[in-house]
Amino acid sequence: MRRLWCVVFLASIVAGGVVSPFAVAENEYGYYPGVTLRVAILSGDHPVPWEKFVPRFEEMTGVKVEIIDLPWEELYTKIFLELATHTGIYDIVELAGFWVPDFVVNNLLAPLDEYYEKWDWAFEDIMPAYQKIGVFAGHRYSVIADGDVFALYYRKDLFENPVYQAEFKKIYGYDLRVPQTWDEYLDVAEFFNGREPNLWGNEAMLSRVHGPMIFMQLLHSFGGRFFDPYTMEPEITSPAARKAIETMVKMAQYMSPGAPAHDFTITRDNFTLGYAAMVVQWADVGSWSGTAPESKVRGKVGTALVPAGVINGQKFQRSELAWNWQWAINADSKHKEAAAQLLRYMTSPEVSREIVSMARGYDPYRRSHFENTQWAAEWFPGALEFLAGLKANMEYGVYDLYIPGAQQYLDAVGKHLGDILTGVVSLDEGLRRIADEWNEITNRWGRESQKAFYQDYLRTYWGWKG
Amino acid sequence: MISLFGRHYRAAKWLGFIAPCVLVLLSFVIFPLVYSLYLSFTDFSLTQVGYRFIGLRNFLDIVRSTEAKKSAFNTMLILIGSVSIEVVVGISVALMLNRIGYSRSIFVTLIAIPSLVAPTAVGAIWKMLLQPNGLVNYILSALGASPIDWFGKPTFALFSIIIADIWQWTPFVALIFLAGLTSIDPTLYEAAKVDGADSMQQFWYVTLPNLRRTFAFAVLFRAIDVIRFMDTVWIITRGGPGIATQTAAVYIYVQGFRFFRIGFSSAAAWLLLIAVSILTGFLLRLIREKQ
Repeated sequence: MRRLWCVVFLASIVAGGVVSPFAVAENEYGYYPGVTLRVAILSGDHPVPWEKFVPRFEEMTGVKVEIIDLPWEELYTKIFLELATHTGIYDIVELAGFWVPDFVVNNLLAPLDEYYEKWDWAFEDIMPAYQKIGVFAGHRYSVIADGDVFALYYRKDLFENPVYQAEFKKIYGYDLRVPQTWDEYLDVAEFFNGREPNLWGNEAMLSRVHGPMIFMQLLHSFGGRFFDPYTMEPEITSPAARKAIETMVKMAQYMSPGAPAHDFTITRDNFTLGYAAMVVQWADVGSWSGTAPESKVRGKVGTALVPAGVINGQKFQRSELAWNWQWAINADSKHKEAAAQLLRYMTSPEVSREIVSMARGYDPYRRSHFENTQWAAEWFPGALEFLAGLKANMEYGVYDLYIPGAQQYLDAVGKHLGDILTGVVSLDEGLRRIADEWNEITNRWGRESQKAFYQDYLRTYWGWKG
Repeated sequence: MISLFGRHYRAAKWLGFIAPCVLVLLSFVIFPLVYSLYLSFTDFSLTQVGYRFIGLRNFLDIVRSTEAKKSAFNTMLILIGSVSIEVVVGISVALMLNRIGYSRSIFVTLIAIPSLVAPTAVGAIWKMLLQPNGLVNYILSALGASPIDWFGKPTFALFSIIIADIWQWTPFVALIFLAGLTSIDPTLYEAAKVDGADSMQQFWYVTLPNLRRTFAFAVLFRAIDVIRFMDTVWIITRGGPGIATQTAAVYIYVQGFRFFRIGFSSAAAWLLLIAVSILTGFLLRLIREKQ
């Protein structure tokens, strides 16, 4: 009898050992026991969704995931240094969209094409504007994690105030409405500036780091481009670029003190605390206004199209798909397949929908985020209108500069923009300095190769036929 | 052991004691210095494959660069602004502390606290205090003055850096001067009193001359610190608005760790080292007694 029980006991252990891997492996994300993945992401809000959803992935796949959050100041530097020195510390890294080319040209990221061919990523569910993002030199190197798009956020209560409507009409000769053009935007900003205590006409990101995002928005709004695609000569002194900077200078006049230092956090917080009538910014403003406990404008915020630019009689309706956090795999990772599965899981329609609803710096980017809106109705007052506004802007989405050295080109803009805004240099001198620095950067990277990359960027993201 | 080294045992013993220290010095000081000097003559960049020897081009580019010159100028402004006030206030505080008797150690401990705070924390604190709706502007408004745009105007942004530095390091300078004061021979003051000197004359003809070395040491110490000043600036203004508060150290950091232009930033770092060496040499001459 005892022998029989021993046999049964041993048989059950063996059966369990044989059956259980197969049972777990039937989940769509595979089974990778003993694998540890290290994920480097921005600290603050970003780890929260990871900490919530990773345990389920770990349970399903046997993978152990370590989240390493890096402060904003160190994110690009630390990730680049670790990958460039091949320490292999990180398997997955979080990058801004325009950082990706720097990593790719140095062979630091693993191409994801094979994983896209092998598995279902619900790719068609991604909004068309974001489907191309992550593609560089004909290959996909990253997945979209954050549907960044600029939108115009405005205070509905101010715009709907009949007293303000009458006064505006009297001064400007047309009805107060959500600005359709940047000229109207400046009129409205001027009108509301100081109209109430602690109310400024607008907020805008003008700092060294974030100012270039607004510059790109305005450059594209006025029909401009970065370089001549045939010579790589900077077009920073073009009428469009000039008008972009002039507009930023005027925006600064209708902002709270310290305008040249206003970054993403300051503009978001100032608007949600009720200090500004309007702001053109990321979706974080819209969701933060509705969800942050300290918000003073809950239920009062409207979302609209970024104003169009009008130059030489031509009108350009464009909304910048600025920044876009993306996730990529280290080329030195020993667990690329497991890492790709983790990315597939985190960007899956079900998980990503919950992530974007947490308002933790990851914004909607899938059709399902906008179509299945039961969750949005319960999110915050005005959430449905907010999502509709985002989606409308995505229809006019235009892309950041995606060539090697983009960070340096944009830093040159941010640096000299500050000098222009503070009057240290004139507009012409500031633009000349940016052009000179852009030429230096292009020469350092290699003019011919930069030209090739820029032409490829125009073809991929702008449909350029040249 | 003695038989192993024979008559060289004594030398081997001492070598054995200093070998770890020499090894560390070679690995973490000498080799990086020499290697960075080598890199400064190349166009080495982490973002580009391969590099070439380019001679003095990096140095020439830096000397010609408007941004580099502006960064050096900002550093000098902060140096002069911070150190001059720290020295004046430091001497004053030291003189007051020198008069205190048995409870002096309590005051010394208290005033040393700012110097113990990490520079990044100091930057974060002053960034909060100087916000448009921060405590400083609140106090200014309460006193009837207009709030100041500390971070939006280049001049005030520079002041914000200087204020943070003065707040943190004046106590340290005061302690250096206090040490100098306590080392002055008291009989000199007695002799001055006998000659009819009042307190101001004693200060001018006894205290200050005897603090010459202390003064030079304090200025040297603080100057070297300010020249390589990066963390507080980065936290408060990031070198902005524009490059209005970008110091030499921030410039080197951005070129080296944002753009990974290692050769270029090495050249800039060497130029900074040469500048510091010249300043150090000048101040050390002041420290030496006249023959």
